[in-house]
Amino acid sequence: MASTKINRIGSWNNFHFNGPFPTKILFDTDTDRNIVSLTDRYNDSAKEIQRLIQDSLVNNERLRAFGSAWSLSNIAHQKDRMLFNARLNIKLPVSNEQLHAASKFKPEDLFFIQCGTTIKEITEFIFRKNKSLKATGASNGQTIAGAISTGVHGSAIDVGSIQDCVAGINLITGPGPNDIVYIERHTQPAMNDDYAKGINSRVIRNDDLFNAALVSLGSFGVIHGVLIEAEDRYLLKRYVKKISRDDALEFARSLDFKNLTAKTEPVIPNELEADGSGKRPFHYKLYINPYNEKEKFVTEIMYKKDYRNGYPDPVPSIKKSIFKDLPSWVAIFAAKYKRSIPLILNALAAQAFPDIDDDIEGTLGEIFWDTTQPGAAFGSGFGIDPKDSAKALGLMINVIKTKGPVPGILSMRFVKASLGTLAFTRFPVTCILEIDGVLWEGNQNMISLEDFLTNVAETFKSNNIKFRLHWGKNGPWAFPGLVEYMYGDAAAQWKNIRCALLSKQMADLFSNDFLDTVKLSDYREGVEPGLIASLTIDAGIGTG
Amino acid sequence: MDQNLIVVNLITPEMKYTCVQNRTCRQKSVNLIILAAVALLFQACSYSIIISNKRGTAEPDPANIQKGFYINKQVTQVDTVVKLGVVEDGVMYLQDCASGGLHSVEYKITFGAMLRNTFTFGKRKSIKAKCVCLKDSNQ
Repeated sequence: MASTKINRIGSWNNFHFNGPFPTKILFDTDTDRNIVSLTDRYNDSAKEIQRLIQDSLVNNERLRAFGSAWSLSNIAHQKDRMLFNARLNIKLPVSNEQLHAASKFKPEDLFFIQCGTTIKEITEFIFRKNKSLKATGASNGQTIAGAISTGVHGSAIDVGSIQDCVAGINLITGPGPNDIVYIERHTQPAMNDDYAKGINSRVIRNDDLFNAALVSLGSFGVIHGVLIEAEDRYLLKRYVKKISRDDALEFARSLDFKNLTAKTEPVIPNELEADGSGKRPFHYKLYINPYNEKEKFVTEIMYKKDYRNGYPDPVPSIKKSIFKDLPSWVAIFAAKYKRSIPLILNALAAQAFPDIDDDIEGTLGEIFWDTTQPGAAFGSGFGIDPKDSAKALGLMINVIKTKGPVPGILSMRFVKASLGTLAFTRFPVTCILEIDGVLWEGNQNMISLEDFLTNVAETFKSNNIKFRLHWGKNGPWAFPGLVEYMYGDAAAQWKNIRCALLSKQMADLFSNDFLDTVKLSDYREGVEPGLIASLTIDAGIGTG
Repeated sequence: MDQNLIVVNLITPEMKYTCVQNRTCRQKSVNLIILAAVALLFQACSYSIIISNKRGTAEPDPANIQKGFYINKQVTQVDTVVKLGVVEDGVMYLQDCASGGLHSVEYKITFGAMLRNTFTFGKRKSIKAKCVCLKDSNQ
C-alpha cells in the first residue's frame, strides 16, 4: 500500500524562495515498490490520493498537489494541506494493443507518466528508447503535472509548450470509485477504453474538457498521470551571437528568419537552405540588459539536427552558460542604494548572459540541463503578440527607468500557440517578454515587485498591448479584471467546464488563495452537464 | 570574515579614545588583527568540492528548504572522526541508496582535519561529507 508521511510544517517555501507561506500539513506520499506490476502500483497510489482527499473532506480543509515547487507565484501553495507528489514517478510505455481504434498516434511515441516525474526523468527514460520530448522549459526540474498546469514553455517557435505534447490526462476528482477520469480530445483519441479501465478510470473524450484541463492551475483535481507524445531523438545546434537591436526586433516582429544567419555577428555560415536563405531556427531568444540601450542583443539561436553519436559533451559548457541568477547580495545592496542597480547590472550582464560564440550541440535534455537556486529570485513573463514586441519592450524599459530601477534582466522567447483554454501562449506564436532577477524588499525608496509589475500591466493595457501572464511566475495577480482582460470568454468557459466536472465541495477543496485572487475559484451552479459529455469523432455524439 | 567583524565590534568609541593614549590597547588591537588574519588564513585552508552525477535526479526532500545546491534534496551529512587500526590504511564510508546510485557527494577538507591526519600519522581521519542519493526510478 502506498504510504504518506504527515509533516506539520507550519510554513512552506517554493524553490525560488518567494515565501514563506503558512501551511498546516505537508503530505509526502510514496508508492509501494513491493507491488511488482507498475499498473497495479499506479492504481495503488491513486487509492492513497483518494484517501487523502477523503480525509481532507472530513476535516473541511483544502488540498493541493505540488511537485518541484518551481512556480514563483503562489499557485502551488495551499495553506491547509499540500500533497507532495514528486515520489510518484512511474513511467510506462504504450503498446499497439492499447491504442484506440481511431488513434493516429504511433505507440512507440507514447508514454504514460505519473504526476511527480520530473522533466529530466522523462527525458532520460525516453532517451533510452531513442525518443525525445518535443520541447521543455529552460531547465528540467519541474514535474510533468506542475509543468503542464502552469504552461511551462521554452522558446520552440514552431513546437509549443510542454502541455502541447500531452495526449491524455488522468484526473482524480474526488474520493469515490467514479471520481477517477481519463480524458482525451475526442478529435484525437489515443488510448482504448480497456486501457482506461486498467487504471480504474472512466473515459471522457471531449476537446473542450481536455483543453480546459490541460492548463488547469492545479484546480481540476489531482492530475495523477499524463499520456505524452514524444518524437525521435534529435540534436540542437546552439549558437550565441550578437545582433543589432533593430535587426533582432525585426526578426521578433516578423518571425521571418531568412536573413537571420547573415545578420548575426559573426555570421552563421552553415545554417542555409539550398537557395542561400537562412534556415528557420528551432529556438530564438533575446537577452536584454534594460540599462544599456546601445549595446547589441545577445541572441541564442538553435537549429534542429538529426541525432548522431559521438558529438562533444555540451554539458560542461551549458553548466557555465545557463542564464545565471544574479548574486543575492545585489538585492540587499539594491534595496539600500537603488541608483547602483544599473551600474551593478551593467557590470554583471556579461556574467548573466551566455558567452558569445560558445557554439555547442546536444540533445534537448542536455541543452536545457539542470539549474540550481542560490537565493531568492523573481521572474515574470508577459505573453504578447510578436507584432507588439518592440513596442512592449520599449514600454517595459520605460517603466523600469521611471518607476525603478529594479534588479532584473529582460529576455524574449517565442512559442507556438497552445490549445489549452487558459494557456497564456494563445497567439499563433506568442512572444514572452520576461524579466528575471533577484527578489528584493520594497521600501520607501524603492518600488515593490508587486507595484512594479502592476505598473507594467497598466502601461501595456493603456497602450493597447494585449498580454497574458505566465501562471507559474510573479505577476500583478490582484490587478482588477485581470483574467477577463487576458482571456475574455475563455475564462468563463473554463469555469463552466470545471464546475461541470467537479461538485461544489470538490471545487472548493481544489481551490487555493491564488485561484481566489484571480477570481477563478467561484462556483457556477446548474452548469450544463453535457459540456463534458464524452464525444465521438464523427458525429460529436455523447457516448457516456 | 566573522573574526573581522568581532574586531570592529570590540573597539567601541570610548575604547578608541583611550587607545589614542594607551600603547597597551594599541598592542591589543594589533594582536586581534593578527588573530583575525590567522583565522582567515585557516578559513581559506578549508574548502569543499561537489562531485555530481551528470545524469539522474536527486532523492527529493520537500522539507529541506536551505538555499543553494541542496534545496529540496534529501541530504545525508557525515561528520565523524574514524580511528584506524594498525593494519588499516584507508577509510570507506558506505552510503545506502535505495535507488542504487549516488547523485552527488560534497567532501569538505578542513585545516583541523589535515592537522589531525598529520599528527596521528594518518590513523585518525576526519570525514565531513554530504551525500545525496539518486531518486528511485520506480521501475
